[in-house]
Amino acid sequence: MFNFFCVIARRSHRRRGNLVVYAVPKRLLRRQTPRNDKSMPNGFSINKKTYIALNLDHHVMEERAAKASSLRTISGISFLASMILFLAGAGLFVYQNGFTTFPEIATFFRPTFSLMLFSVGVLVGCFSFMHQSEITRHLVFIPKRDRNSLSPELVTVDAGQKDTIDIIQFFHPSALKALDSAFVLAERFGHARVEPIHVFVGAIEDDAASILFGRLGLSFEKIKDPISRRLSTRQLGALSGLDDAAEQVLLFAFRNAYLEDRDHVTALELFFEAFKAEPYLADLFQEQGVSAEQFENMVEWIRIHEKIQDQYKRFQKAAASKPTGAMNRSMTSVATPILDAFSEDLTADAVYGRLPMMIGREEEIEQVFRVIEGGRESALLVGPHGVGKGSVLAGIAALMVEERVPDVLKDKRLVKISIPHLVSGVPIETAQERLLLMLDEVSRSRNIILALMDLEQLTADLAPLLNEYLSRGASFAIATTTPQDYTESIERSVLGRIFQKVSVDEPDQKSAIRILESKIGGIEYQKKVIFRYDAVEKCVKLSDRYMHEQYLPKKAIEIAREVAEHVAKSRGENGVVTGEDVAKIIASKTGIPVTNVAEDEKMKLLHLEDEMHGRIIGQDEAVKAVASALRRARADLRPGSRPIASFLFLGSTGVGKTELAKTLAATYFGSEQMMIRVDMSEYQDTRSIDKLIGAPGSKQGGLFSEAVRTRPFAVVLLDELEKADPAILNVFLQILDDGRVTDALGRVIDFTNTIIIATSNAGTQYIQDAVGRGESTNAIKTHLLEEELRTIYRPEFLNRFDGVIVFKPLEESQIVEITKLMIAQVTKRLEGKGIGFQVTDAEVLELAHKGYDPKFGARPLRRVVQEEVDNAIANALLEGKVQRRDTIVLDVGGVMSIQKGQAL
Amino acid sequence: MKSTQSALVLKHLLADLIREILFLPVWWYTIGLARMVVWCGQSIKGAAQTTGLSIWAKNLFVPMYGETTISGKLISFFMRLIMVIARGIATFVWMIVALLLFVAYLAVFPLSILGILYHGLGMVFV
Repeated sequence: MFNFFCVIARRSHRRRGNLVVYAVPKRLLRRQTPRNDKSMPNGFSINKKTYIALNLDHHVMEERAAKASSLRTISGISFLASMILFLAGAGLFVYQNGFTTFPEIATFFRPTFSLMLFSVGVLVGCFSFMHQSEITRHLVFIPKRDRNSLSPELVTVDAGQKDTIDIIQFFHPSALKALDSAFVLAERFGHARVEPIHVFVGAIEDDAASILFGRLGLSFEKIKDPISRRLSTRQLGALSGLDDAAEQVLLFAFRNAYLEDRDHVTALELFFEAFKAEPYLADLFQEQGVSAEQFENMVEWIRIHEKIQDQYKRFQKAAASKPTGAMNRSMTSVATPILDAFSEDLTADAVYGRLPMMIGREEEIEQVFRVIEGGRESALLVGPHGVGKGSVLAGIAALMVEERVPDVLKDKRLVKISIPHLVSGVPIETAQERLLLMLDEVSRSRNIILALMDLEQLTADLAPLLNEYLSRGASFAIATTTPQDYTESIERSVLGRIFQKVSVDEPDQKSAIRILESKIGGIEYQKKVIFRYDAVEKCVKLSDRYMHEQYLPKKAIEIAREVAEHVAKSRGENGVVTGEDVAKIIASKTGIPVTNVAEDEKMKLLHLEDEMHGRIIGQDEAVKAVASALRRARADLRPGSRPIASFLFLGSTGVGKTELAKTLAATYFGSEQMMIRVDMSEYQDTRSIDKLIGAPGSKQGGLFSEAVRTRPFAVVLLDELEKADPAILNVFLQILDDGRVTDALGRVIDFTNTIIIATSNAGTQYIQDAVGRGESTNAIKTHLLEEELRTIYRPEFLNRFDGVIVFKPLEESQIVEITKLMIAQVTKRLEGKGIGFQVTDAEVLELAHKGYDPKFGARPLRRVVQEEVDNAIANALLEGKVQRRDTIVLDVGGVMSIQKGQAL
Repeated sequence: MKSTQSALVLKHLLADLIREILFLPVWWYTIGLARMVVWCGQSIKGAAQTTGLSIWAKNLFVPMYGETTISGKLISFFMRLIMVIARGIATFVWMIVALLLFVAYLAVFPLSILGILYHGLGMVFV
């Protein structure tokens, strides 16, 4: 990539005739000073010291590179020479004096070439030792940050200011190489200054940048031309060093490394800061479908990966000296056979690498330590299932292995008691006895911290024993429970007094992406697949949006595992997992089309009205409104905190209100069955609110809320809304506004993936009269809203709907069309039996005429078709008049004839 | 441009090589010696940590395996004493090894020069 830009630079020079001649610096080391033309802050203040990027130029970079190269060469040559001389001398000496016996002392005092060679080897070895020692002695590391310290402040440093520290010394060779490349690039283009874009291109060849491009699914090819164009617009002139923005890139890269507790500034940090400093790059990546946030999350992924590697190395070192048995290092503990039978040693698991590395729960662990250090209280982690309470315990176990814990936890082990094992299959007295014996072992052993998963499982008979034991201060316990169980079973029980609550909340999407990023390496290794960034992001975002019964990060991790498994099977080893794969899995789980809109679906969406008119005759306004809502939802343009769409359908019976709702369910959710139909006439008094969302104090949710909770992706049809009690409508007011409602159990029921359709017959008479008078639809709607509906619905309720749609009474011509649709349905049913069916146009008109009633719409027509068509066919079938391959022809007056099919 | 960079590297290489060769005797008995002392100290400390000497010494009077009877305490005390002595010996042996390495460090530089001179001149003149 970098070479590509160098070639472009050469071409560019040819075009402009501006060939820059490289000048060898006269001095070996130029004196570097802070620049004195500052227009922006140029340093960071950390612990009363000022860290600055001294005025770098190409000569300085070349000097640094030459110096580094010279040091490497001396290292290699001196080590190699010492080894060769040493081994050659020793080998020659042994060859001359024989292998079998050790030579006499006098032999060493006899001057020989071999011993001289040996001595020279030793002397060169001394030199090599000194050289290496000096290199390591001069290695400097970024100062370590205090845990509670704030982000360092930006300061302006004057040219004459002394006692400043040059940040370049903290740069990793990869970062120095990137900077050097940036200077080479600027020089080859003949640019006056090194700018962030040069630094970006300079760092592009680093391994981290390659990983970043690969994971984002980008190729260098796609961005090289726009970058070349951008480079060709930079200011020309003799190269004088970094511009202000590039200098800030270096400073911010240093700050990032400092905040991340890194030893050195790597090329990745330069790459990231250069990206942030150059808005053109953000635009360019956005055009390729990568937002600045995605870019940042990807950088974070690489950082997390490196952090896990460092953590693992440090951990392995510490784990080697951690005892894994019952015995502690001071051998004061005792054997714990009963405890061992009902428990799992988490510290031993951590030593053997059975527990996952923890990312992003440092705050909660710190709180647990504060509780334990603070006094005699134990800690209780309270959070929903799947938010990572187990990970917090695993993190504490890992810290105990490393002994990076408060003194009271040092040289101890974290033992997780299995409550189901303890109580299952035995009378409560036996379980009590077991618990007492276990607690006795724990207190005699004095090196055990108890971990209790799902503390609420401890029955009322066992809880006082644990409470009494912990109250004595003999040991501590770290337990977990869910918020609901905490409120119901623990808060006001004896255990509530001894345990101090530490909340473990569901992480936000950004944190969940980071947690998932930390797990992806393991999944990739296990399933032999490669995740792209968009797959990771979609695992979190789509599961958060569509899987409300579970919590992040667990649900996202499970989706990631499932997708990896699917891709491993379908694409084999090293298959790439993309965002579309994740969307497909989520779509198959939920029935919601969340995948990208494909070409054929685009056409379908654009012509949705035509498709819907295949089932709905007339009612153009309603069909258009619904089709538009679907298009908005599919293009992901709908607000995330409200239902997908909500409509109030007004009109008399039999005009197609319910049919449109069914069509909608079939079109968007895949099946007519994806419709929750609520007859609002069952909710006519205030008490029926219990039926809707559950009665307070009961352990059950409401009929309606449960239906939506179990099927959150559906059309919700509120039939005959005008019959519901106003108090019920208030509940719907909130649902339409916020997209959620809280049931009697305190669970939040999500409506953001539903389409809510309310139907109402209110004002039907007016609609019929007005249509008869030939009034426009808008005038009818205005009158309905201002007059007819005012007495039934409050204005704010009506305003919550995305659309109030008036269904006009059906005309006779429309009834004819509906008759044809119904006949087509009959034909389809008979096709399954191998029988053809035809109805003459005259008969269609006759049926339509019989079934037409302006008051009841198409409803009487269904009855007519049933009586005159279905019944006649049924009789013919039963009488055996019709065989397979025959065609039934229905003519005017209901006369049925049968055209015999050809015999086989 | 590559040749100018190579010239720069060569220049540094020669300067560094000469400077370091001249600096070697001084370094060996100043900075190098100080680093060796630190290394010996850390190495002995590490050995003591590996053998758990301080933990055993600290818990000399704490009964082992939770045995709090008189006989248990007595057995535990003597057992711990033996362990402290055994672990102490292991640490001491490592200390001796570290000290030997230290002495070897002190001697290796002059010995190598002596070796070159003795064997080199000896071959020429004997």
